[in-house]
Amino acid sequence: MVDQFQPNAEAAGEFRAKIVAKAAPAEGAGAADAQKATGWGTIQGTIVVVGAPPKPGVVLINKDLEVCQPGGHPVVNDNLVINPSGGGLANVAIFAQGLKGENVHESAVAKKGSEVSFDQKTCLFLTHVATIQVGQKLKIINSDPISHNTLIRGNPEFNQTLSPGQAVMYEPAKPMTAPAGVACSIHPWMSAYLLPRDNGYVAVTNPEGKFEIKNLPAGINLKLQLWHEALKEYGGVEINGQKQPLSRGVLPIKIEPDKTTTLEIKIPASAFPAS
Amino acid sequence: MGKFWSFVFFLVPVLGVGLFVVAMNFHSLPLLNHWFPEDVSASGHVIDQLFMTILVLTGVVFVATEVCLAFFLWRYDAKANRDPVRYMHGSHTLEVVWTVLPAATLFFIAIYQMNAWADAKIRQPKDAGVIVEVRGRQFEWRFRYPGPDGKFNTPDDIHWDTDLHVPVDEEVLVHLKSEDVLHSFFLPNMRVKQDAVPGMMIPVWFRPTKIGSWDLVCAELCGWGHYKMRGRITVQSRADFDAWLVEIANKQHATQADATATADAAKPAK
Amino acid sequence: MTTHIFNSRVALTLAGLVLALGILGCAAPPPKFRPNLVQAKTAGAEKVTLASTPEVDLPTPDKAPVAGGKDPNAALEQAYGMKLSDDAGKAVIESVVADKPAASAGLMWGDVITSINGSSISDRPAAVKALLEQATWGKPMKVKVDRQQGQQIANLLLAVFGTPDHPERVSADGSPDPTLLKSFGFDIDKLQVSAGRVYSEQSGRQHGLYRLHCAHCHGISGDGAGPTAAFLNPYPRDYRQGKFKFKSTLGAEKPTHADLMRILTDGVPGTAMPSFRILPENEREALVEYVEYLSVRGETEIKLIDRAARGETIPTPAELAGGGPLVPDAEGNVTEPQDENNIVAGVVYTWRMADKKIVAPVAPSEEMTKWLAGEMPKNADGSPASADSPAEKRRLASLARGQAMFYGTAANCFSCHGDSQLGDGQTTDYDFWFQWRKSLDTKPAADRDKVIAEFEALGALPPRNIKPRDLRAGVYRGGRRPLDIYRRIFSGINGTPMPAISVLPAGAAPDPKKGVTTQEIWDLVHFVKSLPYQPLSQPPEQLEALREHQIQ
Repeated sequence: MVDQFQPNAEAAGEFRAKIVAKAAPAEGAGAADAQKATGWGTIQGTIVVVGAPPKPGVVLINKDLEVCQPGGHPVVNDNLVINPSGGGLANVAIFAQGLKGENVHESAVAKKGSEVSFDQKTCLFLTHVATIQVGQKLKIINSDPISHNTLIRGNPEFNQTLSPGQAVMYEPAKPMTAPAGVACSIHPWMSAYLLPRDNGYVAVTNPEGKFEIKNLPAGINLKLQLWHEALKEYGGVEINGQKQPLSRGVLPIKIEPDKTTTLEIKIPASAFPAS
Repeated sequence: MGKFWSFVFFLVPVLGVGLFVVAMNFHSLPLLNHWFPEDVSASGHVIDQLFMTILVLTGVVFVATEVCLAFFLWRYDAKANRDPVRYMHGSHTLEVVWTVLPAATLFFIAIYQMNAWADAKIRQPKDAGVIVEVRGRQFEWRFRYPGPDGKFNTPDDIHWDTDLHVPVDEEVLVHLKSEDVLHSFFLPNMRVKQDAVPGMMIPVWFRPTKIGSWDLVCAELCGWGHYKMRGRITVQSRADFDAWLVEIANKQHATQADATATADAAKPAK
Repeated sequence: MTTHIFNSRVALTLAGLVLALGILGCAAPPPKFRPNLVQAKTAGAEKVTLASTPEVDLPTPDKAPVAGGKDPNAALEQAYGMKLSDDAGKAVIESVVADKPAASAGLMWGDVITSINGSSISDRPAAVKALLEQATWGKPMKVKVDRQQGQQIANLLLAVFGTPDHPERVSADGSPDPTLLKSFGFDIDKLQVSAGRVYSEQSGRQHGLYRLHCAHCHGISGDGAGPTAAFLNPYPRDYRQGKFKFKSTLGAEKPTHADLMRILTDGVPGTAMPSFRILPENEREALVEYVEYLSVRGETEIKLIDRAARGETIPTPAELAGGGPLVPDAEGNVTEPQDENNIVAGVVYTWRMADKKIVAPVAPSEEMTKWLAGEMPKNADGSPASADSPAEKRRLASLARGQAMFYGTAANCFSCHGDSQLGDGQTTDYDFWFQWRKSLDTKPAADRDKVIAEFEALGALPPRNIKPRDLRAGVYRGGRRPLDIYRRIFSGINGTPMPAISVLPAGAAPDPKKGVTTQEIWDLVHFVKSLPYQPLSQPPEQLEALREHQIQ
C-alpha cells in the first residue's frame, strides 16, 4: 500500500516542467461560456430514513451532572436524530456548490455584520448544525449556569472559555465545503457543526426532515451537496421514487424559474453505521 | 607451529606497554591526546596520581604474567614435549606467596587511596561557593541554581540546562538527581564521575581551577540515548558568573517580549 | 592441519559476509517517505490510496465541434472542455475547464480514460476517435476512467518539494532546481545541510542534521512517528499538521521562527524533547528552517488529501505551485494568495505572517513583576515582611484574586486542571492529533477497537487522551517565563482543548461574569506560579524539613 504512493520521478519531472512553464489553465476558463441563470426557483423537500435505523446511544456524562443531566434522565446522543413518526432525518445540511456573482440572488446574501446566534444549554449545543455566511458574525452564547469552552475547527480556529450567560463573537474568514466541527473540551460529549458559506443557498433539515432553499438560479446545472455527520455512503438514495445513487452526496439538478421543485429523498437505514 | 603462539602472546605485553609509552609521550597523531584530558580541578592530580600508582602496579603484574604465559607456551610446546603429562600436588609455599602478595598489595591500595576517597566522597565542603542541582533525564542535563535567597524550591530558583556554569577557584557542590533512570554525571576534566540514581540526592563536589569550557557527558552505558546527553561545563570568573546568573534570571522572569526577542522574531532576510 | 584450513575458511566466510553487508549497505535503496494514509482515512476517503475507477455520463454537444483539423485537442476542448496529454500511450486527461461538460460530469485532470461506452480504450488515438468520431452528438456517453489521486499527490509533492532527503532535486534526472523553494522564501543552503544522510565535510561542516538529531523521534518526513516515537509520552510533534503548541502567536496562528528556535534551544521540559543549546546557532537555524519546510510540505499534502478524499479535483501542478513568489517586503509583509488552489503559497503565507500575530502582553505593575520573579516583600532591614504588612497584604490579595479566577466561571481553570490543580479534572478528551479517535467515542467499544486497529495499520500511533497539566509540578512545557504562562492563558494552546480566556475589551469595567481584564491575567499567572511552592506541592524531603523546623 505504501508502495502505491511512492512518487514517480518521471511524472514529477513533467509536473515540474509545467510549473516552470507556468502553463496557464485552459483559456476562457468559465468566463465567456459561464452559465447564466434564467430566473429563480425554489427547492424544497423532505429527507426520510426508510427502515429501522440504528438506535442512538446514550451519552456518558461524567461531570456537572446537576446541569448537564437535568432530572437524572439519560441524555441521548444527538448525532442521528430521526423523527419517530415518518422517519424524517434532522440535521442534514443541503447546500448549493459553486454559485457566484450573477447566479446568486440578492436575497441569498446576508447583511454584512449581521449576527447568527449559537446557544448552548444543559451541556448541549442547541443548534446541532449551524450555518453562517462569511461576513456574518456567530454570536456564541452560554445559557448554562456553568462555564463552557467553544472550540471551532474552522478558519480561523477558535477556542475560548465562556462564563455563564456570556456571549462572544466569531467571524468565519472563508467559506468551507464541509461543516467544521464544534466542540466543548470541558464536556467532550458536546458536539455540533458550523458550515460557513459565501451565500445563503444552504438549508438544514428540521426535526421532520424538511428543508427549503429559495431563489436558486434556474436553468443552470446546480450541484446540491447533502451532508450528514453519520452518513458516508449515498449509494442507496432514492429521490422522488427513483433510485439515484449520489456520488459523495452530490445531487446534480436543474430547476425551472418561478417554480418549486420538490425532492422526496429516501435514505435506507442500512446506510448508517451502527452507533 | 606451537612456538608461533608464544611469540604472539609475547607481543601482547610488548605492544601494550608500547602503547602506553607512546600515548603518554606523544600528544599527537595517531593517539590524538587520548591520554588524560586536561586536569582543571584542584583535586584531579590526586586521582591522576592514584591512577598512575595502580597503573604501575598492575602494569608490572601484567607484564610478568604475560611473559610467564609466553615462556610456558614456548617451553611446553606439545610438539617438543612428547613425554606423558604428569600431575603434581603443587607447591604450598608458592600458593602462600601468590595469595599473600596480592592481598598485601590490595590492602596497600585500600589504605593508600583512603584519603582521596574521603576527600571526594565523604568530606563534603562546608564553604561551597555555589550549590547547583543537576538532574539527569532522558536525555539531557537540567540544572537549578538556588537564586538570591540561597534556597532551593523557592520561586526565585534559576533554571537552566545543558551548559553548566560555575565560578573558578571555588568549591562547586552539585546535588545530583535523576528524573527517570540511572545516569552518570561525568566531568572528565574535573576527574568527577558519579551515577545519578532515581529517588536519591547524591552530593558531588569539585573545585575548578581554570577558566574555560569543557565536556559534560553521561557515562551511563545502558539505554539508547545517554550518548546524546552531551553538555558543557563553563568555568567563569566570579564576576562573570554572577553577571551570567543575573542575565538568565532576568530572562526567566520576563513578562514582556523584550527588544532582543522582537528582533529575533523578525525572520532573517532571505 | 584440517583444523587450520577450517579456521581460515571461517575467517574467509566472515570477511566475505562483512564485505557483502557493507556493499548491501551502500547500495540500499533510498528511504521511502510514508504518505499520510492516516489523513486519508480521517478525511473519510473510500480508499486510503485515493484510487478509484469512476464511470461518468459525459454530455456531448448537439453537433460536432467545428474546431480541430490537425489538432484534436482543439476539438476536444470545444466539445467537452478538456485536453488530452500529447504523449503517446495512455489517454490521460491533461486539463479540464471549469463548468464545461467534462468538468461538470466529474472528470478531472490526470484521469486515464479506460473505456468509453463500454468499449475499452488503450491509448490516446482510440480515445480521440471515440470522443470525436464515434460520438452520437446530443447523447451522453459513458466514460470510465482510472483515477490515482494518491499517486498524483505523491508526484506533485516531489515536483514542488523534492524529497525530504533532497529538497532541491525535483526532476527525473535528479538535477537540482531550488528556484521554486527559493521563491517561497526558503533558504536552500539551510535545507541542504539539514536534509539527507549524515556526514561532515573536511572543514567540519556537519550535514544531515535532521537525521542526526531529530529523525529518530520526529520521523524522516516529520510525521512524528519515528522509530522511538511509540515509547514517548507525549508523542513527538507531527509537523505535517502545521500545528504547534508552544509559541508566541495568537490562537491557531503559526509559530514564529524565533519560537521554534526557542523550543529547539531550551527543549520542552516534561517531554522527551531535549535542549539543543549545545549545537552551534547556525545548525539550529538550519534545523528550524528545515522543520518549516517539512511542515509546509506536510500541510500541503494534507490539504491535497482532504480534497481528494472529498471527491474533489486536486490542483494542477501550475495551480498548486502558483501564487508566489512569497518573499517578504521590507516590512516583512507578503501578499496573500487569493486562489485557493495555490495551496503551497497559502500555507507559506501563514508562516510568513506569523511575526505579525505575536501576543504582546500588557505590562504588569512593578510590584507584580517582582512577585513573579520570586521577590517577596521585605522590611527595611531585609527580613521577610509579615503577613499584616501592607506590601505582603497586597501580594496575598493578588494571589487570592488569582485563586478566585482559577475557580471562577470566567477562567474556569478548575474544570480541567482539577480542584486540586493536579491536572485531574477533564482527562478523557483528545487533542487535535487524535481527532480521528475522538470521533469514535460514540461508537460501541467493539467497533471502536476495530477502527483503531485499522488506523494503527496505516501508521497511526496508539491513541492517548490529552491530560491537563499538573500545575503543582512546576514543569512548564512552553517555558516558565511569566510571559509564557500569560500567553498560554491568553490565547490557549493550539491543537489542545486548552481554550483562550475571555478577555474584556480594553477599558471595560472588571466584571468577573463576563471575562477578565488583561491585568487580571497577571493575578492568575501569579497564582499559577505560586502553586509549586505551596507546602502541599513539595516533595517529601521538604515536608521532613518543615516538620523538623516545627519541632524545633
